[in-house]
Amino acid sequence: MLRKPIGVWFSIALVILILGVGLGWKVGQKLAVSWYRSHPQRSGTLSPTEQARVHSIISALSAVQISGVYAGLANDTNDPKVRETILRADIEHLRGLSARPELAEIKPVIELHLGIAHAIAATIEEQHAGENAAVQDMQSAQALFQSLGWQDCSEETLKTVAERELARWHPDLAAKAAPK
Amino acid sequence: MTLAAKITYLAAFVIGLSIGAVFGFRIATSDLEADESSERLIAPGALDNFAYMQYKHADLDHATKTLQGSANVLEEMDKSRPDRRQENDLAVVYTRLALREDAANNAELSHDYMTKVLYWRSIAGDRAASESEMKAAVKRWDEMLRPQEDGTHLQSTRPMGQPF
Repeated sequence: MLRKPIGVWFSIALVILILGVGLGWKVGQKLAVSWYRSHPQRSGTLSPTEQARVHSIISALSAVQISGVYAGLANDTNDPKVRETILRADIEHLRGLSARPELAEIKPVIELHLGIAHAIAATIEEQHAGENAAVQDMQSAQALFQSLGWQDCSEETLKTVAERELARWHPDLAAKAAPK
Repeated sequence: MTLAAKITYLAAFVIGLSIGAVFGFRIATSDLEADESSERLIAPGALDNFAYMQYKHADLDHATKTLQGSANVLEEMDKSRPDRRQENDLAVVYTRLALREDAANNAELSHDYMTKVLYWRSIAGDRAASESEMKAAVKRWDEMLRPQEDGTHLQSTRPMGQPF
């Protein structure tokens, strides 16, 4: 008769223990994030505020650098809706970064990559019968490159830049274009 | 509920919470550190690519302004966590600034930038090189590793931070 209550108690205690681990895990993660943000990496000479700012710049630069991967994915897919979604998402993401005031210092870097994303979108859309969208994207790319002081913002130059960027993420493309 | 049951349940909760918090904290911290390390590895590539494109395509004013902006960001990154690769990237950005000033016949400004190049190379612990050697090295890297404008050579950028 005593076994049953002990078994029930033990089961309830075990469930409470497991729930406690789950709750503790989440609390621990949140503590880690806030601790990490308030103690950004400790080896430099910058103040914590400056460290946090530099860290957000590094995160944004990293995101900008890998944005080319999305263009590569868009180039690979045969589904026009998926392709459009990927290209727009990449452009919107870069546009969002460009509008963030704390990233003003690297705004030209983001805008260059935004220009490249538009040029890539124009190149891909042109190949897949999206003439209007291609024209619009090329115009957006030209406006961005002009604002960066590019001396030659012709379609031809921007397409070359777009293809080169695509090739950075696509060795196959690079191999096709390499001299025989 | 008996007192013994209450104590047992409370103890189970406290023990569970503590174990979860300790492991959650440690794993999250290690993930955050890994994220930051990979971001620090990837981020300079965006600046390197930007500096090259502006050096190659922009007019002198924009190129100077934006390359100097890149150098400032790299310097801040180096202050945040000193890294030999960033210091080499800084030397390359300043060399590009010097090359643009050379093209505009501003020898004095070019020399000022090259002084910064030599400073950052010494910080990075690289061997001493003359101004002309550095300029030739950057030009050679661009020819070897950068894609040509006609698209015939589509290899990626200089390996980040690699000394030359």
